[in-house]
Amino acid sequence: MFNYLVRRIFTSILVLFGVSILVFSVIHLVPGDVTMAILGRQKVTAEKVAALREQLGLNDPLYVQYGRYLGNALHGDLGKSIRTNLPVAKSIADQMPSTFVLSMAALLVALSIGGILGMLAALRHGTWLDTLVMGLSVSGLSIPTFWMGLLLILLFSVKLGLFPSISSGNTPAQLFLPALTLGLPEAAVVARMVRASMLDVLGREYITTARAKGLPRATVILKHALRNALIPVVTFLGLQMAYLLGGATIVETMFARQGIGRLAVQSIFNRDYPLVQGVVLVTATIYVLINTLTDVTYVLVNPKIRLK
Amino acid sequence: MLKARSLWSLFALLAIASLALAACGQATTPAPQPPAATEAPAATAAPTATEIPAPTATPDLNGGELTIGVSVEPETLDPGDAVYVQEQFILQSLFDSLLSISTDGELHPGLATQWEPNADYSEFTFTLRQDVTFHDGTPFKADAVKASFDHIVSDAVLESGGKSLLQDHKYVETSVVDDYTVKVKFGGSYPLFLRDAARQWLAISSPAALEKYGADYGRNPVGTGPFKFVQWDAQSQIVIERNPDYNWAPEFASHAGPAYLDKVTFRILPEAATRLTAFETGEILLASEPPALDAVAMVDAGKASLQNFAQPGIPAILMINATKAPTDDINVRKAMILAVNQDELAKTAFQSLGLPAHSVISPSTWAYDEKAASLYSYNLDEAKKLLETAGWVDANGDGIREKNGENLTIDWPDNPAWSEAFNELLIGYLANAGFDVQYRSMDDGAAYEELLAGNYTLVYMYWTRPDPSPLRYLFHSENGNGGGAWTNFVNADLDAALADADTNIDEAARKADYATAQNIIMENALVLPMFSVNTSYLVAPAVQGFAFDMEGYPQLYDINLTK
Repeated sequence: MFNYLVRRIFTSILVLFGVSILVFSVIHLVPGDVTMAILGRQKVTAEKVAALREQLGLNDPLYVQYGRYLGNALHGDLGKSIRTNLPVAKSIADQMPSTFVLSMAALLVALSIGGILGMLAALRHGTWLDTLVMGLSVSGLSIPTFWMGLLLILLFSVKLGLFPSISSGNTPAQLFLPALTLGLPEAAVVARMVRASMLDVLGREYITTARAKGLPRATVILKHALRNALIPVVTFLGLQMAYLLGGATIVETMFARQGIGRLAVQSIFNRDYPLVQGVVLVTATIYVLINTLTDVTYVLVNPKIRLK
Repeated sequence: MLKARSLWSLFALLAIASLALAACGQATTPAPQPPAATEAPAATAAPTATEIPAPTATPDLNGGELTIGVSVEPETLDPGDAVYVQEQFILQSLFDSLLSISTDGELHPGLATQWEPNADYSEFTFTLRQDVTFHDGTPFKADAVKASFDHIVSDAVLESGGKSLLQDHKYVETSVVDDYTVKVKFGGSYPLFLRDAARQWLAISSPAALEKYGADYGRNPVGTGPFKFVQWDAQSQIVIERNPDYNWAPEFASHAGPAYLDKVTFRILPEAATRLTAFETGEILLASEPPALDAVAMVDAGKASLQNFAQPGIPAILMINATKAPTDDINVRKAMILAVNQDELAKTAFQSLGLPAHSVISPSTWAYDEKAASLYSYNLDEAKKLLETAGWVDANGDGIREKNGENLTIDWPDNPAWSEAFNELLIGYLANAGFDVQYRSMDDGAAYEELLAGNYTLVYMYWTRPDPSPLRYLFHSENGNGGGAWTNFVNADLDAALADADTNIDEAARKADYATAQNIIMENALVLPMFSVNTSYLVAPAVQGFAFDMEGYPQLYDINLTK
């Protein structure tokens, strides 16, 4: 167990190390000289370029530059944005809460809508309701996020005037459409998983026993069947956090929300290299952390994996 | 068992919370403003693009909150550190400058009541208003002017519009004569300084705030303008509110005293489609740079008016390399201009918003010369004839002309972000005349290296400015080799005219200099003019008193909302 943990954490660190090298290289892979991108087009003089190269430390050997970059990053210093001159770490920290709240809200949407529909489909297995839910689920999975978002805006904002089409805040009304857009494809997956899992559980002997004891139907379903059926779904959702971070990019752009995804898009458009580097590094770190935690938790829960 | 139980309670909690969320959402629905704004009854009359009702003709004005959808987030709100249009739009509400300019181009008092240049326009003495306070309570005095200008030229500002204005004219110092008299000194004649002193770039900041916030001043601006800065949420919005003490509006404004609006929110909406939707739902009442087709449709449907302003300065042009084959031949350059139908190009790329350009400066610019603008008009046959005279013929029938075995190739390294909307169209026109245009799409940095290395025929450029002064950066031979004079054309008369236009204190002489420069540039076919760059806004009917200032920024001070 201990060995496994050490190994898992060691590989995570190795991955992060690789990410940092890739991220560091970005500034050197930029076509042309990065100082030109910083100075723009007008009135660039050789002196200005030389001064800026010196200021950015671009004249040092590569390994010195990398060492400095890594050292600073470990101290939470990710450099300064070319565009705004604000610390990259602060820009990211400002946008993080918004993405986190959106992801959580989308998770809620996925669990509640997907859970209820999946359960209904399992209980009415083989009926029109089952077919309908499965049909919806296929549609939900097939419709791209940006299209879904547009349809939702058209219905709820333009036609009905119920929810704002642009929403930066985190009030329920402001979160409703973005969370729905991000959560619905997830809900479709959850519905399918809950249905399959419920069908499996409902066929088990302990359910038959519970029924035979004369327990009310609701108790059997909610207390005995559903909570067991949900275990694989919850594991699955943990892994989906990464997907939500990615999907947030589109949803945040679409609804003009604050967030790390939109920060990534804007910094790429603005060719704000330090900011791009910072966002990629932070996102990759979160991704690796979540994966590591999921793996470790899984091992704690399921002893079979430890043997491998 | 415990695990399963906690999972179940977690799920129950999540389910309840999400239902509550949905319910709350339903209950607190009216987040978007009621669409009354977009469906104003005919009686209150939606103003059209061209007719803005006088403030007296509109009853039921009540201030209120105005939300504006802007496409680009500012980089800073420190006027001394600012460069771009998106910044100046907001800065003009937060700050005042020493002088102000009305839309007819006349100078008026601003924070200074009187101004006096010395004989050669290298020293300027300003007498200041005595009744002005900054938003942080600091009284406005001569030391504020000194602190603001010294801040601009200090190392705290790396590169900015204001910094290049001051440094290019050899700023020496600002000296405080007494509390309300200040003298600004330059190392040479700077006749345009009085006009530049009216720009946002040289606006006056609170010396206390400059000191207090240091490097963070750009996020905590403090000026004397009609609105005060409230907050800036990155990637989301900038909020400003009315300055109740404001009583020093320019004399040409349509009212005096504080602004009408209580609060203005600049909502940052980079996606054009998002801006349009938010405008339709009434969440924003002003939308910048609307997509042309949709904007026109909305105006036709009576849901909005469209305000359009052709920016003065250098319109969208292509600078032509006059030292590299094949465009080192003047006939080839002339043929390029003649082959492009500017009127059609502007209409096709930008619908009714498009304004063709026919010269190196746009018609709304001071010292615009009609003669230079009338030298060329679209004539494909003439273009073909010129190319044949120059020895370029299509012998092998592939549609591309050749001479001595070489194709008539035009090399255009460019960042497509600048020219996307029209470069395909433009390439089509040139191809009709037998040019082979090689558009090489790349990053700004890479494009710049190509320019420095001389690997280009065309360079895309535009520059917004009320006067033609950028011509010096773009065409004086002192700025060759990477300084901005990309045509590489050297002409003593042109250099002399541009240098004199920058320093001559006689306005008529400067105007003549600029006319000379425009004519030399166009006669030598150094640029391929395309279209004027526009500022356009979709305006909801509830917005009253919308007007552009002389640089094309909407004046928020005079705007009001109907109930």
